[in-house]
Amino acid sequence: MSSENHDDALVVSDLHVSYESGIWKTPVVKGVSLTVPKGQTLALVGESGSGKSTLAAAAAGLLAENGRIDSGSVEVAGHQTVGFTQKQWRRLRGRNVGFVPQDPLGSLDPLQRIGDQVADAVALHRGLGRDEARREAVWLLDSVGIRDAAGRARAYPHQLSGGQLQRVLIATAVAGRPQLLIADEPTSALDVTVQRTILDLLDSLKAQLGLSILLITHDLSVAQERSEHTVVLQHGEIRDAGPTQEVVAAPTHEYTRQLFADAPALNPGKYRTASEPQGAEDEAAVNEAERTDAPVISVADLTKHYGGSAAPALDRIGVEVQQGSIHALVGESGSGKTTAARIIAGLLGYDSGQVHVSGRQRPRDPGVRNHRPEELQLVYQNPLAAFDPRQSIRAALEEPLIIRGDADRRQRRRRVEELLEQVGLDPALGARTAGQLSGGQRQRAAIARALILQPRILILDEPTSALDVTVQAQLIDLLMRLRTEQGLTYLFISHDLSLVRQIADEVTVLERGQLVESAPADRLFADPQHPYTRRLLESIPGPGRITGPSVGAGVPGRESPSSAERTAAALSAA
Amino acid sequence: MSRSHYILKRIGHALLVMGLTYLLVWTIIFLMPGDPVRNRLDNPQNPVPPEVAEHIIRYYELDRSGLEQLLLSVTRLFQGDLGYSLANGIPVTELLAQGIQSTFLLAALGLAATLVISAAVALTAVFAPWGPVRSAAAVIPLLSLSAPTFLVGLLLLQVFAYQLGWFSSIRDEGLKSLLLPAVNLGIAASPPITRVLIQGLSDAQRKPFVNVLRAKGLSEAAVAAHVVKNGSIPTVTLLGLTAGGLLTGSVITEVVFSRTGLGYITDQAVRAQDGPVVLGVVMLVAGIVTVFNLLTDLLYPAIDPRIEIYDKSSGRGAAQEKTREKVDS
Amino acid sequence: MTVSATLNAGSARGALRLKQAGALRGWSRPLDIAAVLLLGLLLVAVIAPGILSPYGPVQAHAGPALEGPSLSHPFGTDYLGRDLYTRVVHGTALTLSTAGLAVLIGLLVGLLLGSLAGYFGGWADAVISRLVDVLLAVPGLLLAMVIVVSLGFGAVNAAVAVGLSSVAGFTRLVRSEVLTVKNLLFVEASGHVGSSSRRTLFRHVLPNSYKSVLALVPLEFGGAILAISTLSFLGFGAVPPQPEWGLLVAEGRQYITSSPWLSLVPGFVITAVVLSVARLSTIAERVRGV
Repeated sequence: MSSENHDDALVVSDLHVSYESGIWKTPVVKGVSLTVPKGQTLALVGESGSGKSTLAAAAAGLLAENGRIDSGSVEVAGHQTVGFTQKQWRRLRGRNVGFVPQDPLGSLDPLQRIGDQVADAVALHRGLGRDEARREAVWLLDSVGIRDAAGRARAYPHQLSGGQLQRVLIATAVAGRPQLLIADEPTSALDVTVQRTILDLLDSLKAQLGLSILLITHDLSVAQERSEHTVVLQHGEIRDAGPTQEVVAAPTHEYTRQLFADAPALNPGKYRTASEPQGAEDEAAVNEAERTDAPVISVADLTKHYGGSAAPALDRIGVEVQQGSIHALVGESGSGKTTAARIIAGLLGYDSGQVHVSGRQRPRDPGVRNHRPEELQLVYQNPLAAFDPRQSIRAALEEPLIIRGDADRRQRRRRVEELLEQVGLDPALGARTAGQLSGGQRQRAAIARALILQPRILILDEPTSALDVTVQAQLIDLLMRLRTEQGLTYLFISHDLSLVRQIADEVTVLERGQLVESAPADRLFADPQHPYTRRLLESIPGPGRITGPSVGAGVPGRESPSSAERTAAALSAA
Repeated sequence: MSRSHYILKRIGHALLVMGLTYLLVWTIIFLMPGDPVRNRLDNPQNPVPPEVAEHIIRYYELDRSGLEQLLLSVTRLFQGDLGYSLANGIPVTELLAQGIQSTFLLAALGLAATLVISAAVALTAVFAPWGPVRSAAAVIPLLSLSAPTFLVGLLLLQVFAYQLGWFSSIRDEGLKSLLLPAVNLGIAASPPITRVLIQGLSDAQRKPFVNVLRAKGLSEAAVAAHVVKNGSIPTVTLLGLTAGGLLTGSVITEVVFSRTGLGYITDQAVRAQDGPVVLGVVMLVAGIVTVFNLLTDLLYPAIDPRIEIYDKSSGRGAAQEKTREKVDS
Repeated sequence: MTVSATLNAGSARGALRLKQAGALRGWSRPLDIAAVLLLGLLLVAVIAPGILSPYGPVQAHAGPALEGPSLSHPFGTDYLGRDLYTRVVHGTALTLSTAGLAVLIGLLVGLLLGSLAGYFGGWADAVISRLVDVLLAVPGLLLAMVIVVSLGFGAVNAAVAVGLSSVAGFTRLVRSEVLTVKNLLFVEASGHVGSSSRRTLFRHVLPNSYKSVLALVPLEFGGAILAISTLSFLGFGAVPPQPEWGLLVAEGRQYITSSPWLSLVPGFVITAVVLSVARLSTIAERVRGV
C-alpha cells in the first residue's frame, strides 16, 4: 500500500484515537492531520492531556492495549499502518521508524548490558552475527557520544546517567538506519545542560542521515529552536500548525498566543517591566516592610555531608538574602540546592558554618518541631505529598492556627476562607483533600498553608516544576502578587533559568555542592563570569538567550564538533 | 561493605536467629505452665512406670532451675542430642531421621508442583490472549488460598483414588503414591508465588522498556522473554517462605494421605504433647527456612545487577522485605 | 526520591488489590451479592442458630444415620444420625468467634509492638525485630502447634495459638507502615508548621499507618478461620462433640468412601466463608473509594 508522496516520512490524516475502559470510551486525539517531510523536524507541542504522546504512540504502533484508532490514517514511509498487526509493524520497526522514549531510566531492560541491548537491534536489522553486532554496537555507542564506549557497553543501565542512557536509546533507535525518528519528550527527564547536548545530537543525526523527526515536546522554545514545522495540540485538537517561523511570528489561535505568553524562555522581561521601574505599590510594600540593610537570611561557610558519601553535599556555601527580594538558588540535580533550602528551613541539620534566619542562628541539629513557624515557611515541590491524605485542605490550613492557640473556631475558619480566596481557590474546595485537587490548585493550597501564620519569608522549592506552562504562569503571577501585597521575601529554588530570569533579583548558582557564582540577576544574565554559569545560560532554548555570541564555542563539556562528523561517518559507512 | 563481610554478616544473623528460635521454642514448651514432661509423668490415665519416670526426671534434671535445664539442653544440642520422645523413649534424632527421607522427597515433588502451578497460572493470567481466560487465571491464587489444605487433599483422594481409581489410597505404590500429596502441597504452597509472579509480570509488562523493545523490532516472543526475566526476580525472595509452607503443609498432607514422615511424626508428637520431639521438628524446619532465607540474600545480588551489597544494619535484605510486604497485603 | 518511592510502593499495593477486584469485573455484582448474603446468613447463625436449623446440634437420630443430602437433611446426616446442616449452623459461632479472638490478639499485640519498633527505633526496634525474625523462621501453623503443646488442646487455646502465631506478620507490617509514614513529606510538613512531635505522631503518623493494617483484617480473619479449622481437623482444637467446622471434616473422614459429603460439605462451607470475607474486604475498599 505505498502512496505516491514518498517524500514524506510520516503522514497522519484526520486521526481519531480513544482509550477504552470498560464501557467508557475517552477520545484523546480528535481529527489530527500532520505531515513530517523527509529530512525535517516536526515539533508536536502541547501540555499534559493534549494527546501528543498518544499520537506519537499511534504513529509508532505502540498504543496501549486499550487504545483504539477509531478513524483516519497513519502512513509511515508510504505504508498505511492503521489496522497493522504486531507482526506487520515489526517489518517497519527499526528499519523505517525508530522510537526515542521519554524516560530513559525505565526504557532499557535493567537486567541486560547496554551494549547487548544495542547489539540486539543491530543484529536484527543488519543480519550480523553476535560478535560483529557487538562490535558494531560499541561503534554506535561511541558515535552517539558515549565516552569509553567499549567499557560502557558492559555496564548495566543503572550504572549510567540519564543523559548517557538517552544516548544509548538514540543509538538503539538509529541502529537499523530508519528514515523516521519519533521522539516522545526525549529531554524532559534530563538536566538542562544535558537536554541541550541531546537535542544537538538529534540535530546532527538528522543532518547527516537525512532523518525525519517527529519531536514531541511541551516546550515551545524547544520547538522554535529545533524544528521546521510546528503543530500545537490542545485537548486532542490542532490549534495551530505550519512552518515554525510562521507559527511563532503570527500564532493564529488564542491558545497558542497564551502558550507563547506563558513560556518564560520567550518572555524574559515579563515581570521586569512591571517591577523594575519600581511602581508605587511596590515601593509602598517594601517601605511597609521596613527594609533594613541586614539580610533576613544569612548563610556562611555552610557545609553538609550525607552519611556514607565522601563528597560533601554542600561545601562552604555562603548566601545572603535581602529583605523583600527574590533570591534564586539555581542548579541541576545533585547541586545541593534542595539540601541548602532544607537546612535554611530548619528541616535538616548541617555539619558546620552559620545559618541565620531573621538574626537567629539555626540549630545544628534541629528537632522535628519547628518552634517559629511564623518566621519562615517552605513550600514543597510536591504538594500532594506534603498534605496528609486523610486531611481536608481546610483542616490542614486550620491546624497551624490551632497549634498556635487561636481559640475562636469561627475566627480560624474565617482566616482560612480569606486565605483560600487570596490564593485564588474557591473556598468550597477547602472541603476536599489534596488528592482531589488539580496540580495547580494543590500548589495554591500549599502556598495558602505556608502563609496562614503570616511569615515574612517563603522558601519555594521548585514550586512549579511539575506543572504545565500555563498553570505555572498563573502560579508565578500569584506569587508575584502576594509578594507585592504582603512584602514577602522569597528564596526561590529552581533549575529553570528562564523562569529565574523572569523573576529573580539575585541569583546564586550551585554545582555539585559548590557555590559557582552569585550576583544580581541582571549582571549574571548579561555577563556570566563562571564557565558553568555560561553553560547553564546557553542551555536556555529559544531566541531570548541573553548571552553574547562569544559563548558557546570552547565551553567545556559540550559536544566536540568532531562528534557529529564521527556519528555520520559511523552510520553511513556501516 | 565488602562481599565477604556481607556474607559473614548474613551467616551471623542466620545463626543468631536459630539460637533465639531455640531459646523461644524451648521456653514455650518447657517453661510455660503445663510443662509437658511433668504433664506426661503426672498423667493419671496413662501412668509411666516409676523406673522410667525416675530416668526421665534424672535425664531432664527437672529438679533443677529453668536456666540450668536450658543450659543442659543447649549443651546436649551441641553434642547432637535432642533428647528422647516422651511417648516411646526413642531418641528424637532417630525419630527425625526416620521421617526425613520420605518427607523431603514429598517436599521436593511438592516444590516442583508449586513451581509448575505458579508458572502456569501466572503466565496464563498475564499473557493469555483472551481477556476472560486471564481474569479466570488471576482468581486461582485466591481460590487455592481460601480452600483448606485438608479439603483439597480429601477432594483429590475422592476424585482420583475413589472415583477414578487411578491411585490407591492405602497401598504404597512408590513414587506414584507421592503424586497426589505432592499436588496437594503444590496447591497449598503456590498462592504467594503465583501472586508475586502475576504482579511482577504485569509490572514488568507496563515498564517503558517493553515499548522500546517492541520499537526495536523484536518479536512478541522475544519481548515476552524480557518481561518474564524481569518479572520473576521478586519470587526468589519467597524461597524461605515456600520451604516452610511445604514442610508444614506436609503435616496435613501426610495425615490426609496416611503417610508416615516428618509431618506424621509432628502430628503424633503434638497429639501426645511430646515436647522434645516437637522442639526437634521445629528446629529442623526453622533451620531449613533460615538456610533458604540466607540463600536468597546471597543469591539476590548475583541475579539482579541493580542490588548492590548494601549496608543495612538490620536483619534481612531490603529486597526480600519489600516483596514479603507485598505478599502480606 | 524516597517520597515518590514510598508513594509508588503504596500505590502498587493498592493496584494489586484493585487488580484482584477487577479480575472479576463482569461478575462483580452477583459475586458481591452472594458474598454479602452468605455473611448475613452467618451473622444470623451466630446470633440465633435456632432460626436456621430445625434440629439440635447434638441431637442424635434426627434422621437415619449416614444419609445423603436430601430435602429434610440438606447436608445429610452423620454416623449418629445428627443433622449435618444443623451442626454446621451451630458451629458457626464457635468457628467465627475463635477466629475473631485470634485476629484480635494478633492485631493488638502487632499494633503495639510494630508501633513501638517503627516510631522509636533504636533499642526497642532491635529487640522487636529480632523477635519477629525468630517468629518468622517458624512457619505459622507449626508455631501454633508449639503453643498448643504448651497450652493444651481446646477451642480457646487454639485461638490463642493462632493469634500469637500471627503476631509476627502484623508487627512487621505495622512497623514498616509506621516507618514509611514517619518519613513521608506531610509528616515533616506538619512539624514545619509547628506541630509538636506528639501531636504529629497521634494525628498524622499513626492514623495513616493503621489504615492499611486495618484493611488487612478481613483477610487475616479468613486466614484465622483456615488455621483454626486446620488445628481442629488435626484434633488439636475444639473437642467433640462441639460442631466446629474443621472438626466436622475430621469426623467425616472415617466415612469418606461411603459418605463423602460428611467431610466435603463442611470443607466447602469453610472455603465459601473465607472467599466471602476476602470479597467483603474488596467491597469495603471500593466503597471507601480507593
